[in-house]
Amino acid sequence: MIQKYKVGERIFDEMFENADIPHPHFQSFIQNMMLLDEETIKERHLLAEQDFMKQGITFTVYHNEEGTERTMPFDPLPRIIPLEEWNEIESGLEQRIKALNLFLEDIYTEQNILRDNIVPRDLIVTSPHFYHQVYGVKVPKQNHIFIAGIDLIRDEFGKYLVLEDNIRNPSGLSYVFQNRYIMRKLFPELFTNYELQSLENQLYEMHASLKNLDPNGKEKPTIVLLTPGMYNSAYYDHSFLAKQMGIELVESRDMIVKERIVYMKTTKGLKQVDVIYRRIDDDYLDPLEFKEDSLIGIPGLMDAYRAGNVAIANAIGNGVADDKATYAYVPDMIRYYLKEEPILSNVETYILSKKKDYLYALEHLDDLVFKERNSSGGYNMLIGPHASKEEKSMFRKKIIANPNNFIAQPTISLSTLPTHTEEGIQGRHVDLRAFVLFNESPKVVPGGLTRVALKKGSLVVNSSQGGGSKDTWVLGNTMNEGEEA
Amino acid sequence: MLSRVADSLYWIGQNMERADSMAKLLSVRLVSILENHDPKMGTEHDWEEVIEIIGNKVEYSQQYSAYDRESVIQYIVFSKENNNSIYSCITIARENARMIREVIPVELWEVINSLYFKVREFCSTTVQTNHLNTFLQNIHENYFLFQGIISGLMPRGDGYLFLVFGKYLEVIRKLAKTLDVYYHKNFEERANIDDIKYHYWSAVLSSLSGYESYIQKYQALMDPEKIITYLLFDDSLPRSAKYGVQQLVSAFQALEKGKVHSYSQNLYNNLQNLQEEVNYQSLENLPISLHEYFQNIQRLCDSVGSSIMETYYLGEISQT
Repeated sequence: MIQKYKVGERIFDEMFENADIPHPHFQSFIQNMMLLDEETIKERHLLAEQDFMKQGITFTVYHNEEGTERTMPFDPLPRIIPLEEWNEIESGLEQRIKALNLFLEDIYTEQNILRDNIVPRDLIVTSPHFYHQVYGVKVPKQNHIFIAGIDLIRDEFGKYLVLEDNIRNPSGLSYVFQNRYIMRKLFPELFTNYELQSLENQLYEMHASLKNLDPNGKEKPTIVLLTPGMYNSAYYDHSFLAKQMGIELVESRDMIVKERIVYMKTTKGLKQVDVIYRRIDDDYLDPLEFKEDSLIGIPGLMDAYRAGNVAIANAIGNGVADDKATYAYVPDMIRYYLKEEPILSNVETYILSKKKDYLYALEHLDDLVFKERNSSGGYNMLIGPHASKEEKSMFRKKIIANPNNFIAQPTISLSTLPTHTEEGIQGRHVDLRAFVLFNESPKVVPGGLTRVALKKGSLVVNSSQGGGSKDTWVLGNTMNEGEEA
Repeated sequence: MLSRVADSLYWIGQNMERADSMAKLLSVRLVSILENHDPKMGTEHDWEEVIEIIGNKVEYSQQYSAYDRESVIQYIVFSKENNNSIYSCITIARENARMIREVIPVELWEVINSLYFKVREFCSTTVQTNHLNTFLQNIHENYFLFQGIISGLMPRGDGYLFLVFGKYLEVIRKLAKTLDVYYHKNFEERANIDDIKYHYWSAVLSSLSGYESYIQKYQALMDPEKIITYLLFDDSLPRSAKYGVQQLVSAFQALEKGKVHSYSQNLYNNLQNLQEEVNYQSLENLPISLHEYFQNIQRLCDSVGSSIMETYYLGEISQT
């Protein structure tokens, strides 16, 4: 059935160069696939779904009462990344995270980059994610970004571009592991002739990174993962990571701050907590300092943090570096802090607070994608080529009223990957969320989460809007490519 | 161990036990009612008994007009309004397991989770007798899977001990409550009294999982006093009151490493009281009536339960 596959025009396809010829690193895979008929794939696809349900690998959907749990749709056709290609992505990501970390350290201390006019001061001080509460507070090991999720896309020539940096609370790492596990279990024959870079050691790395942040220098620090609770849409992610790292999964009701020390409530009384991997947004962390009505935060946490008694990962205030306007300056940050040229490019971005960009963008409303600076999840954006007249005129008004709040980018048609759909195997658009763990130096998890827009033609890959995911293979050194031909 | 985690384990132990004991009782009832029932009286009273043992009569009569088979099954198995229905127990166990799945064996979580989905699915269909039997059997089998995983895979640390607390408190309480209701049944007016008695008491043994071992020990003599003595005081029956209390005491000793501290004094005392209460050899030595005795056991279990909550800060956390 894969023979009937069509590669879209002016779209890069991950598996096929054109209708007849697959990319070399997919040749063996296609041979392996030939051994399975469509019924078998369908059947195992269903088994995967049931398996996820049984294991409770679900996220919570808020707007209906009974069936509030859904599995993230999983597609069995993976993305395969050859080693050389990956090596370049890897160095690009490491470089980017280093620069972003230096930027955050700088912004919350000396602000040299603003003084040298590389990044406009206005952009930073008007950001809702610039937190004066942590200005000048010493961050353990000067590590602001213990984990990052960088979203990559590929343009029509197959060139990797960074679409978004997620350095607050990136989610989805658990799916990287689960997708690999389910592929190994249900589609073992697809792996024939492939040697993949292993995911096994990553959680050890992650634990080591957290341990490294311990401000109290203990041999066995108490590390916790702070979750808003089981009704949070990413709860599975929280529970998986806590379990695999062997750290406590806590909720705010388990925690208490006394005399600037954070404790958790145990059956044997209070126990001091040294490192908190929080999966709660800055605004909700401490009702005494941020949103007063937060029920999921820990009163007094900031005070304990300022006293240097507890580490919080990721650090507070990272949002100032990953909103959609600051994004445009990351290549400049790389040049400024590292004296290097960026390895990975950004998507070309017009910053509407700049007069020139503003005029250009309004003139090209039909061709560009407009995004609000601080939104995420694929919401609040205007896709020029697909939008109706009304939508466009409404957005135009919003932009004119507050240009600082918007950026614009050319529409880039994400690359496609053959995907198992109701109508057989068809191309669907994908992106790649790559995860970077930062201990003493950044380390990239091999592969990452390939997210796929399951609706035909859709470019929105977010799971909240009908996206699914695929396994992502990074090939090792010893692949016997094309040997069977 | 986090108090919240301990709390969840305690409720998981208790609710899985409760769901199973109800399934057991109900499946025995479905058969025995046909054997025992008094043709002159109808089955109303028999179903009322079920509610007495495993339900709340006041709550029941607010929602249903009669003690008929359909209503009782609805209330005991499916009702979402009944916090102690099989549906509710499995749901509570599952919610708690979901909150702490990172600390329990993945197999344990999967058994509870799958069972939850089965119960939910079953609750959304119209039920026929053969399905109901299969369903109750299913609960029972999954319960044993659950116990098997605990016994085979769970480290004997604090978490395990809180499961033990939850489980055995429920076992003892349910035993006392069941016997209290059954013992007071009067057959005097019935014609074939010996037959009835035989079926009746063998059903009691079956629903408390003691039938086969009782027969092996005392042969097929259905003597109510012997049966009650056996179910309460036998050291080798793993569901007897005495055995259950011994498990609670051992769990306490393991948790406190054989010591009694000031914070755990109260729990220790309550356990002692309960232990003394099951230390009889036979019913003749009881200084109080059997009814009072069964009530007493249940009260002592409640005291142990609340002092577990206090000693390990369990309640404090679940209220927020």
